[in-house]
Amino acid sequence: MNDSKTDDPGVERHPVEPRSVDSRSADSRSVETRSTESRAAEFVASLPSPRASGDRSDRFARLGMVIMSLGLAVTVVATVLSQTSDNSLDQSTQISLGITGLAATCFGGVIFLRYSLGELLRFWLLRMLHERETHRR
Amino acid sequence: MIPLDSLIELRGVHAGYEGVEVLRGIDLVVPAGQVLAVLGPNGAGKTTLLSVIAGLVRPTRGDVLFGGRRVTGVDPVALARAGLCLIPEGRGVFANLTVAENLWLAAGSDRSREVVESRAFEVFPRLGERRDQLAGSLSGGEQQMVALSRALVSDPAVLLLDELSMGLAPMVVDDLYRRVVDIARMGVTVVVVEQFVRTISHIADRGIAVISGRIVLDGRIEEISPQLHSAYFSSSEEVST
Repeated sequence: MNDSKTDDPGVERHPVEPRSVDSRSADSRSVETRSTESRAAEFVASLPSPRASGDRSDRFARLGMVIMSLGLAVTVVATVLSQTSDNSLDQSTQISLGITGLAATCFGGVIFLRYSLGELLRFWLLRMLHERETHRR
Repeated sequence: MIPLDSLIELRGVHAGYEGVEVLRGIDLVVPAGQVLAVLGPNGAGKTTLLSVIAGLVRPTRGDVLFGGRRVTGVDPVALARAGLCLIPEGRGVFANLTVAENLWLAAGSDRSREVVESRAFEVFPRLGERRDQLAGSLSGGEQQMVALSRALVSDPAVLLLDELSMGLAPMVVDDLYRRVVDIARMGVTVVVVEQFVRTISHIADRGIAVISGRIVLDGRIEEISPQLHSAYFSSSEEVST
């Protein structure tokens, strides 16, 4: 493999300088330089716990499902009540309740989609992109 | 206090795909700031090892720890956000996006597109000249530069490189590994998967040889290189019998 033909004819050969563990002071260019210790500490500090990330999505997906179901139930009950009531004042209250239920259904649906199907669709999109890239090569 | 002598730790890790076990009890400790070379023949489990560290493959047994914290099963996206960066085999650049657009993928709320571009082009001036060119039309070495600069601007704590040298001429590989040395000098812990020890011998602090899913050699590159041939051949005999 190392004898393969170059696809970068313009690159000059610069042998890699041997490096030792203690030689970490040099050229850092414009990227901010932090010590190994602070970099490692920041990394470990920002790590999530094994259960946190999955749990959060699951929790929100379940919450969305509950809100959606409740909203739907409220809408159906309010609609039935408003249709069976003769009192126009009651009907107004029940229609308002129905609209609130409909709004809750939409809100719950959005949350559910965001945290359940959203993840699935994201992976589906990534897979599509990856397959397209693979075919292009 | 973070245990710097074990930033990455794998304890008895077994992993595989659809019932086929690829890693068979990997115990590995990588200190912070070390450049570790993972050597081994095709199909030895090197890429799976990187995938387990990156959280892309969940071990069937054993644990992965970062700085003493168990991270087995943590979402790989969360690990990437924390500062773990994987450059996969095949470079992972988007062929139908321009160089600039590929770099913008590393931009976010904490760094603008301009900052990302200026950092990348300072380290790899040649990419600046090809800013508006489609990444798919770049040479293999330039595509690897795009992947490396995207990693560089994300300011990682751990960088995982999978066969950076694949399909590239030796001089291009040398040039790329010089950049890896620069990145390592910034205090980044680097794990590099390579098939050829000669390619990596100048930059790695330590090497391990993975054969048939097990670590069979572990030590300084110059110490393990003489034993690599016999280790590789004994593994092929094992497979053929």
